[in-house]
Amino acid sequence: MNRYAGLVSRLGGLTVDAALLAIAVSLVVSGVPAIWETLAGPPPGWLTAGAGIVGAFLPLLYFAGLWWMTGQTVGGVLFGTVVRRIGGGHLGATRALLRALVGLLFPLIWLIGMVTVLWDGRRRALHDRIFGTVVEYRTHGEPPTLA
Amino acid sequence: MSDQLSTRPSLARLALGTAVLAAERLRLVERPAPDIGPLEQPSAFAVAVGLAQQGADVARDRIAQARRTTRSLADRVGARVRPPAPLSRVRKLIDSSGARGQQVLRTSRTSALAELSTARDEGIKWAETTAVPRIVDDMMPYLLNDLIPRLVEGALPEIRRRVIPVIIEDLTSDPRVREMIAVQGRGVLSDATDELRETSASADDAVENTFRRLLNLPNGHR
Repeated sequence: MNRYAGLVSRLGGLTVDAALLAIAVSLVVSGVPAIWETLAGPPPGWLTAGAGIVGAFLPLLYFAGLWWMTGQTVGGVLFGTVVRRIGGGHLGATRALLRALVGLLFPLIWLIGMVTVLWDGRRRALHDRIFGTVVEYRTHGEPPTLA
Repeated sequence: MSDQLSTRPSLARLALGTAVLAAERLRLVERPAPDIGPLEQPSAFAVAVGLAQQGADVARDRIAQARRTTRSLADRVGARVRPPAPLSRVRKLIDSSGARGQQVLRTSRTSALAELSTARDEGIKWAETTAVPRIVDDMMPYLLNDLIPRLVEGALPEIRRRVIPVIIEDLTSDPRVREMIAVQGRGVLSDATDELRETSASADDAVENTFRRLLNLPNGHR
């Protein structure tokens, strides 16, 4: 079996992450003001703005944080994939943050760039080539490790 | 001779012993002491049995003598019974007959007890090995097709009403059952996750191979 994760696994994990984030962001952006409104009337402006800002940064925090800490998002855990540097080491905070930022700001380029997975020897997408990362299968029984 | 225990008692002895046992069960007579005490008074029945026994012995002796000698049986029997017996001799006869009768009753009772015990054991054994299995076999169709279904049908409402709620309550509140369910759940989740990973990994290879084949690209190194 190939050591590096292919297109189906990576897109599958990304889909799961996207679904989770969609729910989480809507809960934060809409849910918090709604709860406030239920309990104490119309929400103040700062609450609505704050919820919006948190909701906006939530995906960045999610991807960057999890890639930095364990190399795995929830989708990655489910599909058994982990993001590593080419040498096998953990992603640093800066690299993880930049990788997540580029992906969130340019999602279409991110997705189109994944086509290169099909012919690259290490199944790297365009953003992997840029940031020097690979996405591998986590072997069965291997415990998750923190950075 | 007639008082000694033989390996198999005669019919008369057996009948006599059985009658004694039955009388004891019905509390018509007292159970005799193991040995004849010097002060024990024989019952009238014992005297009668003793007299009969002695009479039988005498008759047996006399018949044997009559066969051996030429003198007429009537003279001998007549010489013995014709003269009137004095009172002391009669009393002595009764006493000896009573003692003998008691002895006969004891031995008869013992023999009958042994025979009846043997017969009882054999009867039980026969019942166990022959009668009961056969009865059970014959009753099986009725039990299986009729009785047990009716019992189950009759008991089911009660079981539903009283037993099942208790069992459910015990199962749901038992920590071992909860632990088992949790372990099973984790196991199922783990298996499902492994299955998903294997499937997606296979799909990765399949998609890549198809792409390479379509574009006629060489296989990438692994």
